Amino acid sequence: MKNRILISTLLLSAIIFFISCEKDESGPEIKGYAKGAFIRCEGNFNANNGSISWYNPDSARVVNNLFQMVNGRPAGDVVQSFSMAGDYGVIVANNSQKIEVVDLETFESVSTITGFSYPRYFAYMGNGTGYLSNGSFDGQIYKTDIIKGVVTDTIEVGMGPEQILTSGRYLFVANSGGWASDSTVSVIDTETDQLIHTIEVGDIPVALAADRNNNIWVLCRGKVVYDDAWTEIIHETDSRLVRINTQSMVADRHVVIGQIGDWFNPSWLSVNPDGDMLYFGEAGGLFRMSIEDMHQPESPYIGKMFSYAETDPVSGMIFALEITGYDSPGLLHIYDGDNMVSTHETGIAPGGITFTGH
Amino acid sequence: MKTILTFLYLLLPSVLSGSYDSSLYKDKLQSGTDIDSILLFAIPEVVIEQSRHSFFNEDKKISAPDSLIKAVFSNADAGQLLSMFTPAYINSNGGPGSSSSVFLRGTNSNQTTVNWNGFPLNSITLGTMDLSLIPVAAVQEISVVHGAAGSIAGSGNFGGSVLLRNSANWQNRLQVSVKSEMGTYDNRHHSLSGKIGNNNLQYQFTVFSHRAENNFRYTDIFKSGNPVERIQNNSLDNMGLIQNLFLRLPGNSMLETGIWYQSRKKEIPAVMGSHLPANAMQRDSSLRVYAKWTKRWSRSSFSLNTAMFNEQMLYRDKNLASDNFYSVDSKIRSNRLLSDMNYRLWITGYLSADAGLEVSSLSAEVNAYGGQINEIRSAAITAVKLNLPGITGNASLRKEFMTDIDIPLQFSAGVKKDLPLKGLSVKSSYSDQFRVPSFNDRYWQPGGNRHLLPESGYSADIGIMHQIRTYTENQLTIEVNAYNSRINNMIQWVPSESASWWNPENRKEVRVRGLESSVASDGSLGRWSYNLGMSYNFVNSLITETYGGSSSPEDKQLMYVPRHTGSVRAGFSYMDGFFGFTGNYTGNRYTTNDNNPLYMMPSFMVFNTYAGYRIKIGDLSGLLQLRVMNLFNTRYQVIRSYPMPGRTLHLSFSVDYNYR
Repeated sequence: MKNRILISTLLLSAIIFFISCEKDESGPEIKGYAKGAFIRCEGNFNANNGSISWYNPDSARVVNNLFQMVNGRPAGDVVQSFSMAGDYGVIVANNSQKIEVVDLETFESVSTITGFSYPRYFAYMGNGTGYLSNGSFDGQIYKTDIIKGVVTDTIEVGMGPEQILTSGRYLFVANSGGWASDSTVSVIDTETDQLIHTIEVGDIPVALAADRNNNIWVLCRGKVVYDDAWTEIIHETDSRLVRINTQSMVADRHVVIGQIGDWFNPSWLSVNPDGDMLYFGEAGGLFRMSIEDMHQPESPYIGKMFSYAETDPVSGMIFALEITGYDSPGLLHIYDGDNMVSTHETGIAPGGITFTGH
Repeated sequence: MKTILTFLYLLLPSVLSGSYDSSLYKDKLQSGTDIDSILLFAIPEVVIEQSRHSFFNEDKKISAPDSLIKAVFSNADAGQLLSMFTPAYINSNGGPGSSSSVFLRGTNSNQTTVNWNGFPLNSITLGTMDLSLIPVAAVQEISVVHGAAGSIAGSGNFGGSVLLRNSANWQNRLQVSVKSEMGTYDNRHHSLSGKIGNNNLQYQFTVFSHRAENNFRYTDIFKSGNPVERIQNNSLDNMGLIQNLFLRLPGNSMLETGIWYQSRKKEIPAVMGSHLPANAMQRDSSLRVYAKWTKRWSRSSFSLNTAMFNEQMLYRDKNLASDNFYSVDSKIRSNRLLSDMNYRLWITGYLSADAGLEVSSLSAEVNAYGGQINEIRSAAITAVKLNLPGITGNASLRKEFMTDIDIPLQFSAGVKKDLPLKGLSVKSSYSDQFRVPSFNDRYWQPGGNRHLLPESGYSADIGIMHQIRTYTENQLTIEVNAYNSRINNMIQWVPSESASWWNPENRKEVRVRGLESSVASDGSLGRWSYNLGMSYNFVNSLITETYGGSSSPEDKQLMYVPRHTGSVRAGFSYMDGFFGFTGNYTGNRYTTNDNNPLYMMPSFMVFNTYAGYRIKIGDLSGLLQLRVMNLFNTRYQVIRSYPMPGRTLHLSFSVDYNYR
């Protein structure tokens, strides 16, 4: 009897201990969909079947078409990006010229903000405010209040701004050129909303990542050069990874990736949670490169082409996306190191992952 | 010898069509006419001049509009008319004049050819033909051959072949016709046509124009709250001229020429769900010329046909309406020189043989090709046709010659047999099929693949038709056709594994099995005449195999191919007035390869109705007509994201002067 009382007391203590530990570790309560990862699926151009797939870490399953299931209509035409914004998520639908703000608890749309010509990426600053890159030629950054659903300021940047990234008080903008050509990164001081630097990096900068030193890495796709009559491809320029030192605001390192003549223009870049390894797609597959390396590794880390890949900060697994066609579901492959452990179907044309960090 | 020829002479009328009065031939024989001219006389001119495309079709299901439907839709385009009399699924991305293509027998739009006077119109760059570019008023005859033989019709006939024909009415002396139609959303059609000639010469022309704002209202189901909006940037300006000259020359020869010029400017609207109007515009202009020379002898005929097609397409888009430059400025130019010669020999009165040669010179200039692409294609064709009382059949072979692509020998055969029960007949056919990859498939940079295999396969069908004619001239026709076809190496554009662009690959095997059934009745009761019909069609168009790393799921229905379609129609005439309706049902269609029900487009049924009244004063006749399209204001899309107009009214009048 004494033993039973002792065992029961120990079990009860253990339960109370573990419950209190879990509560301590989890921090704020995780509600609804604010856990796991969101996969933005572009869909087919003009087909209005862009979607958001959600990876549920509890069940290790992917829920597809989350926005449509909750809201009864598709997320939009050409879903370009998904960003976390506090308790909200921001979906940018490029060819619907809108952003949808969703409540992460229910995934219900709380507002649809329009008035953009060619919206691309959104970066949240806090207090309901963020920045949106826009423009296929002349580029703008729209300071947007997602609670009120209004644009409060416009900052002119380079041509065709793509990915944007905050580092401290600064917003970095990759000016890809859009349907023309550019080779710069704009730097905006978010306290004054003024353009303070324009940094030359390389041809067609499209993607950004911040390393552990708070430096910004820029993926430059390289440019295809046509003859004067635009009838013949003459050559292509280097694809590069360029490091911007955020103290000096100078591009202080250029790593050429791929080779002239491989006709491959990389499109994505990510950094691991420790901020010391860069991941990018190049001819041959997925490459992993230390931020200290001066050259691209000779062989790919995973010899398969992906539309995007990033390391889950919670599990440490690499989540890699594959587009199988624009009329077919895409695939999410999950890798433990370079070993694929599972594959899941996603929406059409998956092209980006946003980890919630939970 | 003379006995045999006499026998043939007596046999021919019944052999050829069964409708000729043999006493006419007896009279001619008794009058001492030589046998050669008798044979020549006995074979109708129209049969002698028939192109291979229409001569070897007796074993196929053929659809053609009745005269009332053709008159009612005389201001429409071929896509709108086709949907009224065939089971074809017509894809359209908007209102009248918007781009449309034909999906026949469960296949894609690039697997059906559209022919004008025997020459293929399908774009050499895309492989498809935009049916909205063909005004019904431009041709005298339009028909659809279901599952046309690849050995006769050439590349891309898995689904079938749409035949457009200009023809002469040799009884015509002078005819002038003016037509005008005003429709909702500022649709304005006008045409002027004239025909003049005698027994040996006929000249005809049609000038047409169609302008429309097409700014109809629609419910945007992709926006929050489903607001009703007005479509923008959807106007149309289409005009053209078509002329034909038919000459009966001495020595039993005939010359036929035609010129077709057309220019269409069409704004391209934004898709549903967009929050900015589009600024895109497409201009299609074409000049097409053909000439046919036919020479007849007593037992044979020879035809030499040549055509020259010049086509240009300009596509422009602006990011913002205020921009003073184009974000896209794409030009496509193509030229085709087509020639076809055919010798037809009647070995006996019931057995004929054809030997033909086709030579085509094709060229296209597209920015993305990196220059001008030139190509020569040729084909040798041989075919025989047996035409006995109660049974007809044909067999044909084709060898296509191309520099880089090997096309296997193509074979087809078919038979039509009358059964003992009067009016009952069965038909069956088998055809090898192939489709040469389009220029875009092979030459588009980056991605184009010069090593693509041609699509290959077969189509086979069997059908039964029962025509019951009553003594009061009423006729009931019941027709059922079942078909089966296989498409190997179907071409699909997919993202490239090794580079950052798309490229076409031979990805799929597709199996198509379907059924077409129809019941039609026409006749008269006193002063009333009627024309009734209904049809039901079923098709399973399944991807049975995928390869090359494709994730396209197997055993899924091809995108945009409805399993179930059907139609009802009724037309009534009483003295000088007429009225009627048509209804077309289109079943669910998938818009993704995995047949995701979330993106499935629901079924819809659209009814149209019409009424008209004819007035005749001497040699002048007039026709006043009202047509209501989408009578019940059905909300639907044919292509996902592109709304179709609701109810529209079209009021038209025409005045004909006919001097006899």
